[in-house]
Amino acid sequence: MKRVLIGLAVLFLFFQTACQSQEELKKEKYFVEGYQLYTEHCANCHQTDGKGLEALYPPINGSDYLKNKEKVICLIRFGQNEPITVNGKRFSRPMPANPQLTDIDVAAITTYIYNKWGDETVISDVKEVSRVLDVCRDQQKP
Amino acid sequence: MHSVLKNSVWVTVLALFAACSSSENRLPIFGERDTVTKVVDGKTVTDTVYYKIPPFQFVNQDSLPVSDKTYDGKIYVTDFFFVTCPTICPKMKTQMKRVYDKFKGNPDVMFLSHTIDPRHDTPAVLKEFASSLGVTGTQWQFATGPKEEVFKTGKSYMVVAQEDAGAPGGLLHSGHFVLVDKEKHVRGMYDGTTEEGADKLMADIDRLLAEYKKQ
Repeated sequence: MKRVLIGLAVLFLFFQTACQSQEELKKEKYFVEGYQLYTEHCANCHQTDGKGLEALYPPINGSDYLKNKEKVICLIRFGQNEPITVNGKRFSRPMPANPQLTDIDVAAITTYIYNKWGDETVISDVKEVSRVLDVCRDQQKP
Repeated sequence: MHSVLKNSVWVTVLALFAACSSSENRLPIFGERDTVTKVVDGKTVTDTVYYKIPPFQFVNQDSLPVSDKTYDGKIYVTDFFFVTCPTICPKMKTQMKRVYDKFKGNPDVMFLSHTIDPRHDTPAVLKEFASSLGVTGTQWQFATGPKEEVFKTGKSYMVVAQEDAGAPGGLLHSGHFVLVDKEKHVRGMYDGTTEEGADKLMADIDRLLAEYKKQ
Protein backbone atom coordinates (compact mmCIF):
# COMPACT_ATOMS: atom_id res chain seq x y z
CA MET A 1 0.00 0.00 0.00
CA LYS A 2 2.78 2.36 0.96
CA ARG A 3 4.53 1.60 -2.28
CA VAL A 4 1.39 2.32 -4.25
CA LEU A 5 1.06 5.66 -2.50
CA ILE A 6 4.63 6.57 -3.22
CA GLY A 7 4.13 5.47 -6.78
CA LEU A 8 1.06 7.69 -7.12
CA ALA A 9 2.90 10.64 -5.63
CA VAL A 10 5.76 10.18 -8.04
CA LEU A 11 3.32 9.90 -10.92
CA PHE A 12 1.53 13.03 -9.75
CA LEU A 13 4.75 15.00 -9.51
CA PHE A 14 5.84 13.72 -12.89
CA PHE A 15 2.61 14.89 -14.56
CA GLN A 16 2.70 18.20 -12.77
CA THR A 17 6.23 19.04 -13.88
CA ALA A 18 5.40 17.78 -17.35
CA CYS A 19 2.39 20.08 -17.44
CA GLN A 20 4.39 23.00 -16.18
CA SER A 21 7.06 22.55 -18.76
CA GLN A 22 4.37 22.26 -21.43
CA GLU A 23 3.13 25.69 -20.35
CA GLU A 24 6.67 27.00 -20.16
CA LEU A 25 7.42 25.60 -23.58
CA LYS A 26 4.35 27.25 -25.04
CA LYS A 27 5.29 30.57 -23.49
CA GLU A 28 8.82 30.28 -24.76
CA LYS A 29 7.51 29.57 -28.24
CA TYR A 30 5.13 32.56 -28.15
CA PHE A 31 7.90 34.82 -26.84
CA VAL A 32 10.56 33.78 -29.36
CA GLU A 33 8.14 33.99 -32.26
CA GLY A 34 6.88 37.30 -30.92
CA TYR A 35 10.42 38.62 -30.80
CA GLN A 36 11.08 37.59 -34.39
CA LEU A 37 7.82 39.09 -35.64
CA TYR A 38 8.40 42.26 -33.64
CA THR A 39 11.85 42.65 -35.18
CA GLU A 40 10.43 42.15 -38.65
CA HIS A 41 7.22 44.18 -38.44
CA CYS A 42 7.50 46.67 -35.58
CA ALA A 43 11.13 47.50 -34.80
CA ASN A 44 11.67 49.64 -37.91
CA CYS A 45 9.66 52.39 -36.27
CA HIS A 46 9.33 51.46 -32.60
CA GLN A 47 13.02 50.42 -32.46
CA THR A 48 14.54 47.21 -31.14
CA ASP A 49 14.53 48.57 -27.59
CA GLY A 50 10.86 49.58 -27.95
CA LYS A 51 11.56 53.19 -27.13
CA GLY A 52 10.22 54.67 -30.36
CA LEU A 53 11.79 57.62 -32.20
CA GLU A 54 11.43 61.20 -31.02
CA ALA A 55 7.93 62.53 -31.64
CA LEU A 56 7.57 60.43 -34.78
CA TYR A 57 6.96 56.94 -33.44
CA PRO A 58 5.64 56.39 -29.91
CA PRO A 59 7.43 54.15 -27.40
CA ILE A 60 6.09 50.73 -26.38
CA ASN A 61 8.74 50.22 -23.71
CA GLY A 62 7.61 52.28 -20.73
CA SER A 63 4.40 53.32 -22.47
CA ASP A 64 1.27 54.05 -20.44
CA TYR A 65 -0.76 53.06 -23.51
CA LEU A 66 -0.07 49.38 -22.73
CA LYS A 67 -2.90 49.45 -20.22
CA ASN A 68 -5.31 49.50 -23.17
CA LYS A 69 -4.45 45.93 -24.07
CA GLU A 70 -7.43 45.28 -26.32
CA LYS A 71 -6.67 48.44 -28.29
CA VAL A 72 -3.04 47.39 -28.59
CA ILE A 73 -4.03 43.96 -29.94
CA CYS A 74 -6.32 45.60 -32.49
CA LEU A 75 -3.90 48.22 -33.71
CA ILE A 76 -1.19 45.61 -34.33
CA ARG A 77 -3.51 44.09 -36.93
CA PHE A 78 -5.68 46.99 -38.12
CA GLY A 79 -3.33 49.95 -37.70
CA GLN A 80 -4.31 53.29 -36.29
CA ASN A 81 -5.44 56.44 -38.08
CA GLU A 82 -6.42 58.58 -35.11
CA PRO A 83 -3.78 60.54 -33.21
CA ILE A 84 -2.91 58.87 -29.89
CA THR A 85 -1.47 60.16 -26.63
CA VAL A 86 1.36 58.18 -25.07
CA ASN A 87 2.91 59.28 -21.78
CA GLY A 88 1.26 62.66 -22.22
CA LYS A 89 2.72 63.19 -25.71
CA ARG A 90 0.57 63.35 -28.81
CA PHE A 91 1.51 61.25 -31.83
CA SER A 92 -0.37 62.06 -35.01
CA ARG A 93 1.32 59.84 -37.58
CA PRO A 94 -0.89 56.95 -38.72
CA MET A 95 0.30 53.42 -38.08
CA PRO A 96 -0.11 51.13 -41.09
CA ALA A 97 -2.26 48.02 -40.77
CA ASN A 98 -0.64 44.58 -40.85
CA PRO A 99 -3.27 42.40 -42.50
CA GLN A 100 -0.63 39.77 -43.25
CA LEU A 101 -0.31 38.94 -39.54
CA THR A 102 -2.41 35.94 -38.49
CA ASP A 103 -4.18 35.75 -35.10
CA ILE A 104 -1.39 33.57 -33.74
CA ASP A 105 1.18 36.13 -34.98
CA VAL A 106 -0.65 38.93 -33.16
CA ALA A 107 -0.84 36.77 -30.03
CA ALA A 108 2.90 36.13 -30.18
CA ILE A 109 3.73 39.82 -30.64
CA THR A 110 1.37 40.77 -27.81
CA THR A 111 3.00 38.17 -25.57
CA TYR A 112 6.45 39.48 -26.43
CA ILE A 113 5.54 43.13 -25.81
CA TYR A 114 3.69 42.51 -22.54
CA ASN A 115 6.30 40.13 -21.11
CA LYS A 116 9.19 42.33 -22.14
CA TRP A 117 7.79 45.78 -21.36
CA GLY A 118 4.44 45.31 -19.64
CA ASP A 119 5.15 43.35 -16.43
CA GLU A 120 3.17 40.33 -17.65
CA THR A 121 4.48 36.83 -17.11
CA VAL A 122 1.84 34.83 -18.93
CA ILE A 123 1.06 34.35 -22.60
CA SER A 124 -1.65 36.25 -24.44
CA ASP A 125 -3.39 33.16 -25.71
CA VAL A 126 -4.45 33.06 -29.33
CA LYS A 127 -8.05 32.21 -28.31
CA GLU A 128 -8.38 35.42 -26.34
CA VAL A 129 -6.57 37.44 -29.01
CA SER A 130 -8.89 36.07 -31.72
CA ARG A 131 -11.91 37.09 -29.68
CA VAL A 132 -10.58 40.65 -29.33
CA LEU A 133 -9.70 40.84 -33.01
CA ASP A 134 -13.19 39.64 -34.01
CA VAL A 135 -14.78 42.40 -31.96
CA CYS A 136 -12.51 44.99 -33.56
CA ARG A 137 -13.17 43.66 -37.04
CA ASP A 138 -16.93 44.05 -36.46
CA GLN A 139 -16.40 47.59 -35.15
CA GLN A 140 -14.35 48.50 -38.21
CA LYS A 141 -17.22 47.59 -40.56
CA PRO A 142 -19.25 50.69 -41.42
CA MET B 1 76.35 58.82 -31.60
CA HIS B 2 75.38 55.49 -32.92
CA SER B 3 72.08 55.54 -31.06
CA VAL B 4 71.30 59.06 -32.27
CA LEU B 5 71.80 57.90 -35.82
CA LYS B 6 69.67 54.90 -35.17
CA ASN B 7 66.96 57.11 -33.74
CA SER B 8 66.97 59.48 -36.64
CA VAL B 9 66.68 56.56 -39.04
CA TRP B 10 63.66 55.41 -37.13
CA VAL B 11 62.13 58.89 -37.17
CA THR B 12 62.61 59.04 -40.92
CA VAL B 13 61.03 55.64 -41.40
CA LEU B 14 58.11 56.64 -39.23
CA ALA B 15 57.72 59.91 -41.08
CA LEU B 16 57.63 58.03 -44.37
CA PHE B 17 54.98 55.70 -43.01
CA ALA B 18 52.95 58.63 -41.75
CA ALA B 19 53.19 60.30 -45.13
CA CYS B 20 52.06 57.12 -46.84
CA SER B 21 49.20 56.46 -44.54
CA SER B 22 47.96 60.03 -44.68
CA SER B 23 47.53 59.80 -48.44
CA GLU B 24 46.08 56.31 -48.14
CA ASN B 25 43.66 57.65 -45.57
CA ARG B 26 41.99 59.86 -48.12
CA LEU B 27 38.51 58.72 -49.00
CA PRO B 28 38.05 57.50 -52.58
CA ILE B 29 36.31 59.62 -55.18
CA PHE B 30 33.38 57.79 -56.75
CA GLY B 31 32.14 57.93 -60.32
CA GLU B 32 33.66 58.07 -63.77
CA ARG B 33 36.73 60.15 -64.30
CA ASP B 34 38.13 61.86 -67.34
CA THR B 35 41.48 63.28 -68.22
CA VAL B 36 41.93 66.70 -69.70
CA THR B 37 45.11 67.68 -71.45
CA LYS B 38 45.89 71.33 -71.72
CA VAL B 39 48.89 73.49 -72.36
CA VAL B 40 50.07 75.59 -69.43
CA ASP B 41 53.13 77.84 -69.83
CA GLY B 42 54.10 75.98 -72.94
CA LYS B 43 53.98 72.60 -71.17
CA THR B 44 51.42 69.90 -71.77
CA VAL B 45 49.64 69.05 -68.52
CA THR B 46 47.20 66.20 -68.02
CA ASP B 47 44.62 66.61 -65.30
CA THR B 48 42.12 64.11 -63.94
CA VAL B 49 38.59 65.41 -63.89
CA TYR B 50 36.38 63.71 -61.34
CA TYR B 51 32.64 63.24 -61.53
CA LYS B 52 30.69 66.06 -59.84
CA ILE B 53 27.09 66.25 -58.67
CA PRO B 54 25.26 68.34 -61.29
CA PRO B 55 23.16 71.38 -60.27
CA PHE B 56 19.71 70.77 -58.80
CA GLN B 57 16.87 72.96 -57.60
CA PHE B 58 14.14 71.95 -55.15
CA VAL B 59 11.96 73.44 -52.42
CA ASN B 60 12.66 72.72 -48.74
CA GLN B 61 10.50 72.18 -45.64
CA ASP B 62 10.19 75.96 -45.19
CA SER B 63 8.98 76.35 -48.81
CA LEU B 64 12.27 78.05 -49.63
CA PRO B 65 14.50 77.14 -52.56
CA VAL B 66 17.22 74.58 -51.89
CA SER B 67 19.81 73.96 -54.57
CA ASP B 68 23.37 72.80 -55.15
CA LYS B 69 24.35 76.38 -54.18
CA THR B 70 22.94 75.80 -50.67
CA TYR B 71 25.61 73.15 -50.25
CA ASP B 72 28.53 75.08 -51.77
CA GLY B 73 31.61 74.68 -49.60
CA LYS B 74 29.91 72.08 -47.38
CA ILE B 75 30.37 68.40 -46.76
CA TYR B 76 26.91 66.88 -46.97
CA VAL B 77 25.06 63.63 -46.59
CA THR B 78 22.07 62.90 -48.77
CA ASP B 79 19.39 60.25 -49.08
CA PHE B 80 16.01 59.47 -50.65
CA PHE B 81 12.89 58.57 -48.69
CA PHE B 82 9.20 59.30 -48.27
CA VAL B 83 7.24 60.15 -45.16
CA THR B 84 4.69 57.33 -45.35
CA CYS B 85 7.20 54.63 -46.30
CA PRO B 86 6.64 51.71 -43.95
CA THR B 87 9.77 49.68 -44.64
CA ILE B 88 13.33 51.00 -44.66
CA CYS B 89 12.72 54.74 -44.22
CA PRO B 90 12.12 54.66 -40.47
CA LYS B 91 15.39 52.77 -40.11
CA MET B 92 17.18 55.27 -42.35
CA LYS B 93 15.79 58.22 -40.45
CA THR B 94 16.76 56.61 -37.13
CA GLN B 95 20.34 56.27 -38.37
CA MET B 96 20.51 59.66 -40.11
CA LYS B 97 19.30 61.27 -36.88
CA ARG B 98 22.25 59.68 -35.06
CA VAL B 99 24.63 61.17 -37.61
CA TYR B 100 22.85 64.54 -37.46
CA ASP B 101 23.03 64.60 -33.66
CA LYS B 102 26.77 63.95 -33.82
CA PHE B 103 27.48 66.82 -36.25
CA LYS B 104 24.74 69.17 -35.12
CA GLY B 105 25.97 72.76 -35.24
CA ASN B 106 29.09 71.92 -37.26
CA PRO B 107 29.17 74.66 -39.93
CA ASP B 108 31.00 72.38 -42.41
CA VAL B 109 28.45 69.56 -42.38
CA MET B 110 24.93 69.57 -43.81
CA PHE B 111 22.20 67.06 -44.63
CA LEU B 112 19.76 66.74 -47.52
CA SER B 113 16.86 64.29 -47.66
CA HIS B 114 14.81 64.10 -50.86
CA THR B 115 11.24 62.88 -50.81
CA ILE B 116 10.31 60.67 -53.75
CA ASP B 117 6.60 61.15 -53.03
CA PRO B 118 6.09 64.87 -53.69
CA ARG B 119 2.32 64.50 -54.08
CA HIS B 120 1.96 63.56 -50.41
CA ASP B 121 5.11 65.12 -48.98
CA THR B 122 4.43 68.82 -49.39
CA PRO B 123 6.74 71.32 -47.63
CA ALA B 124 4.20 71.47 -44.77
CA VAL B 125 4.25 67.68 -44.37
CA LEU B 126 8.05 67.67 -44.48
CA LYS B 127 8.19 70.45 -41.92
CA GLU B 128 5.96 68.50 -39.55
CA PHE B 129 8.06 65.39 -40.13
CA ALA B 130 11.32 67.24 -39.50
CA SER B 131 10.17 68.83 -36.27
CA SER B 132 8.73 65.51 -35.05
CA LEU B 133 12.17 64.04 -35.69
CA GLY B 134 13.67 66.80 -33.59
CA VAL B 135 15.24 68.64 -36.52
CA THR B 136 15.12 72.44 -36.60
CA GLY B 137 16.99 75.11 -38.56
CA THR B 138 18.60 74.66 -41.96
CA GLN B 139 21.44 72.20 -41.35
CA TRP B 140 19.21 69.30 -42.43
CA GLN B 141 16.95 70.20 -45.31
CA PHE B 142 14.08 68.12 -46.67
CA ALA B 143 13.63 68.67 -50.39
CA THR B 144 10.62 68.18 -52.61
CA GLY B 145 10.08 68.89 -56.29
CA PRO B 146 8.76 67.37 -59.51
CA LYS B 147 9.07 63.61 -59.39
CA GLU B 148 11.15 63.39 -62.58
CA GLU B 149 13.62 65.89 -61.16
CA VAL B 150 13.94 63.93 -57.91
CA PHE B 151 14.46 60.65 -59.78
CA LYS B 152 17.02 62.31 -62.05
CA THR B 153 18.86 63.68 -59.02
CA GLY B 154 18.81 60.20 -57.49
CA LYS B 155 20.61 58.89 -60.56
CA SER B 156 23.18 61.66 -60.25
CA TYR B 157 24.01 60.37 -56.76
CA MET B 158 24.23 56.83 -58.20
CA VAL B 159 21.29 55.59 -56.13
CA VAL B 160 17.95 54.14 -57.15
CA ALA B 161 14.77 56.18 -56.74
CA GLN B 162 11.81 55.26 -58.90
CA GLU B 163 8.18 54.22 -59.06
CA ASP B 164 7.55 50.51 -58.63
CA ALA B 165 4.09 49.00 -58.34
CA GLY B 166 5.62 45.95 -56.64
CA ALA B 167 7.21 47.85 -53.76
CA PRO B 168 5.34 48.66 -50.54
CA GLY B 169 3.98 52.19 -50.94
CA GLY B 170 4.44 51.99 -54.72
CA LEU B 171 7.87 53.55 -54.66
CA LEU B 172 11.29 52.02 -54.71
CA HIS B 173 14.42 53.65 -53.42
CA SER B 174 17.80 52.62 -52.19
CA GLY B 175 18.63 52.71 -48.51
CA HIS B 176 21.98 54.38 -49.10
CA PHE B 177 23.44 57.49 -47.57
CA VAL B 178 25.72 59.33 -49.96
CA LEU B 179 28.62 61.43 -48.68
CA VAL B 180 29.53 64.43 -50.85
CA ASP B 181 32.56 66.65 -50.32
CA LYS B 182 32.97 70.42 -50.69
CA GLU B 183 33.91 70.02 -54.37
CA LYS B 184 30.70 68.01 -54.96
CA HIS B 185 32.54 64.74 -55.44
CA VAL B 186 30.89 61.60 -54.11
CA ARG B 187 33.22 60.24 -51.42
CA GLY B 188 31.27 57.40 -49.90
CA MET B 189 28.13 55.25 -49.99
CA TYR B 190 26.73 53.72 -46.80
CA ASP B 191 23.97 51.34 -45.83
CA GLY B 192 21.56 53.75 -44.18
CA THR B 193 19.45 50.98 -42.67
CA THR B 194 22.05 49.69 -40.23
CA GLU B 195 23.91 51.03 -37.24
CA GLU B 196 27.19 49.81 -38.77
CA GLY B 197 26.53 51.79 -41.94
CA ALA B 198 25.89 54.96 -39.98
CA ASP B 199 28.95 54.34 -37.78
CA LYS B 200 31.12 54.04 -40.91
CA LEU B 201 29.60 57.25 -42.28
CA MET B 202 30.34 59.16 -39.07
CA ALA B 203 33.94 57.94 -39.11
CA ASP B 204 34.31 58.95 -42.76
CA ILE B 205 32.87 62.43 -42.17
CA ASP B 206 35.56 62.87 -39.50
CA ARG B 207 38.20 61.72 -41.98
CA LEU B 208 36.89 64.08 -44.64
CA LEU B 209 36.85 67.00 -42.20
CA ALA B 210 40.45 66.13 -41.33
CA GLU B 211 41.40 66.19 -45.03
CA TYR B 212 40.20 69.80 -45.28
CA LYS B 213 41.94 70.76 -42.06
CA LYS B 214 45.28 69.63 -43.47
CA GLN B 215 44.98 71.80 -46.57
